[in-house]
Amino acid sequence: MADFDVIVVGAGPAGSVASYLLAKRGHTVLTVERGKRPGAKNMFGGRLYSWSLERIFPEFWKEAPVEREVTKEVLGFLHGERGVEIRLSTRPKGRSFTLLRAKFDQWLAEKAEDAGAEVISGFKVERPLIRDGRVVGIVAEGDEEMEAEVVIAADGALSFMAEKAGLRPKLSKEDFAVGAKEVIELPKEVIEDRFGLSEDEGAAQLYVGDLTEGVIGGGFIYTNKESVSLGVVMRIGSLASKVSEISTAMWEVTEKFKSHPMIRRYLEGGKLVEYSAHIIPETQFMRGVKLYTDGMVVVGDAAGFCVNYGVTVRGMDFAIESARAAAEAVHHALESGDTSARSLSKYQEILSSGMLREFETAKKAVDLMEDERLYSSIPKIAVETLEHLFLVDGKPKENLYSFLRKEFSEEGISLLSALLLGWKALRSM
Amino acid sequence: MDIAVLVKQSLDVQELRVDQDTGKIYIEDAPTKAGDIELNATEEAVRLKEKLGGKAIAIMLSTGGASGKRQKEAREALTRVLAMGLDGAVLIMGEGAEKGDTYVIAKALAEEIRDKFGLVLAAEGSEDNFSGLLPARLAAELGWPYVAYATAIEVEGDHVKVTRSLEDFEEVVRVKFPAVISVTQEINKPRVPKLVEIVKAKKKPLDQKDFSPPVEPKLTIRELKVPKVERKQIVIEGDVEEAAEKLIQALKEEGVL
Ligand SMILES: Cc1cc2nc3c(=O)[nH]c(=O)nc-3n(C[C@H](O)[C@H](O)[C@H](O)COP(=O)(O)OP(=O)(O)OC[C@H]3O[C@@H](n4cnc5c(N)ncnc54)[C@H](O)[C@@H]3O)c2cc1C
Repeated sequence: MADFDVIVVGAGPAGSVASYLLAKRGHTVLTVERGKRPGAKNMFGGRLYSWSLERIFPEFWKEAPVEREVTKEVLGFLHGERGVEIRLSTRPKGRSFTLLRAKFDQWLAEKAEDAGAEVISGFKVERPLIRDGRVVGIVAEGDEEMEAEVVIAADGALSFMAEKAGLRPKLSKEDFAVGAKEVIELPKEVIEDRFGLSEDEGAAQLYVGDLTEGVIGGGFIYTNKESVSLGVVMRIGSLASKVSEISTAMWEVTEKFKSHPMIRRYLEGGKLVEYSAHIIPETQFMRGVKLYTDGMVVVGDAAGFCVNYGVTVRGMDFAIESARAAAEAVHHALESGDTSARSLSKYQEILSSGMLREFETAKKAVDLMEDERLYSSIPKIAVETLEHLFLVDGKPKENLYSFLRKEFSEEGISLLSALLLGWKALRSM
Repeated sequence: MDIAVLVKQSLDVQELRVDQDTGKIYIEDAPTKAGDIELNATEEAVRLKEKLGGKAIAIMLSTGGASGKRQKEAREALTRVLAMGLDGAVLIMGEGAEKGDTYVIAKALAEEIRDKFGLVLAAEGSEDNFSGLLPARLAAELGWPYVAYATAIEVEGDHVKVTRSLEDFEEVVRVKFPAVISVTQEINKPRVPKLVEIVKAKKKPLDQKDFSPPVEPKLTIRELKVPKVERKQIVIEGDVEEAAEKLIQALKEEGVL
């Protein structure tokens, strides 16, 4: 007899949701989290799309520690000291909320605990316990073995669990992007005033431009209740070779972003209370990932269910939905007494008829965002075109068409390819 | 004979957030845990309980108020010491406990301990306040002898031999049960519980009781603040010789040299 029906490695959103659902169905669940507390070290940009969590906890925002509901979307182009902001005000059908992980992850983990899962923090899992080619449990720090009928690897982007179980190849730095984030405290009223929000409304603002110096990536701002989350996301591969270089580059770009005149005014008088950095799995590597093996399934970031759009990253909702599918499959496997790969393949089946389609659409959008011109030429052209339109200096104005032609040819882009870029953008949305 | 181990719910001082401008300390936001020296006391209790042939029980009188968050943290802290090998735990919590000074806390603890235990082990000081007053006060309340700063404890029949570490010398004393002893971090190396021990610890008896202050506190804290250190921000320029000279001069003026 195994020690537990299920051992879940990691108490991020994926791990806690899987633990919750399986404990609720009466299985014995042990969840092992390496941080001091669930969420203690976890970070993300700032927004959760609620569709997947809502299936598990209807109207969860009424009790969960979310910050603000996003009703303002801003896309910004920065060029030098200048900038353009496009603002969409809406009450979107697909709700999304800003939140802070330390609080939110802890809330989800408590849900799992209340349902009967044993959530133990402060323990690192070293590797899956493998016997006769089958995962039969985990090996925790101190070489301690613990057995389970099924192991769920929810250990995030770097997932050594998946790697050591042979479910994914060893990754190189090209497979990742990196994000850095600061939490800056500001009084509630100041946030609402500066971002044009009413109470509980939130803004999600993304910026691309010359601040990343041609590297794919950009800056983001999300408003919380009494703070803003601000940060940058960049490709590691194109960035540098050493960790120290990467962190310096991240820091420099963050500083540049914060001191841009258009961004600075949002932050004035704010107090920096938190700094963190994290890696982001790039979607390409999904090709080499298997989702299950005998006695184990992989969920969330560990399985690569994360989309990096360049500046924004989306992974929380996929982590939650993949955990739901996995829990369903694991439940059936436990009930039938067969936890082999064949039985657990139900996980992939459930995903294929649901989330994977949404995930594929999301990935299409990424193909467009791969275009480096979006991060250099387009912001410049946007800023200069609007300047051309709005500035009056008493001299005769060149007509817009010839101005645009000049702008595009300076950047080495034909008008045709600009149109194509626009078309691709529309199609992918 | 049973041993009581006093385990304080200490603020995790590494995670204390301070407002640099006002000196305000965000006590409510900081997480809590079992203090490090309490782990030494626990280790010693686990070692001694076999010789004494009784149980070792953790006692925590939480001064963190009664919020759900503090309650959860208190239980987690107790789970940790239980996982090290204690047999059970008593958690005393309630509104008003956060206002209690050592006088109130010692009185309340004495009620819990008298008639039930023959030995009390405590940390020489708590991790967050480190006043070191509580064990002595508790001993006074109980009317038991008190030995502070133990670096070694040996059971010899109906008494214990305690080595105490003092500034310049060591002292070895003998004390009869019942007694209160505070330990230092040098006394032992606390074991690190295994995963399976933590799982089992969650099933050990944890008795939660409501706190009601037995007396009014004699001391109330009006405000907690970080002392403000103003930097002088003097920049000394010039070549090395010259700058060194000026630096020495400046340090002399400050009375440092
Ligand atoms: C800069 C940045 C911005 C982002 N912005 C957004 C956003 O705005 N919206 C969005 O939806 N997504 C965003 N994401 C992605 C999102 O954070 C992830 O997709 C999501 O956290 C995945 O959840 P998870 O549970 O799979 O993994 P994680 O949240 O990474 O959780 C993994 C957990 O496992 C634990 N763990 C790891 N290894 C071990 C081990 N060996 N033993 C025990 N425990 C272990 C970790 O401590 C952690 O708690 C962003 C990511 C980054 C880096």
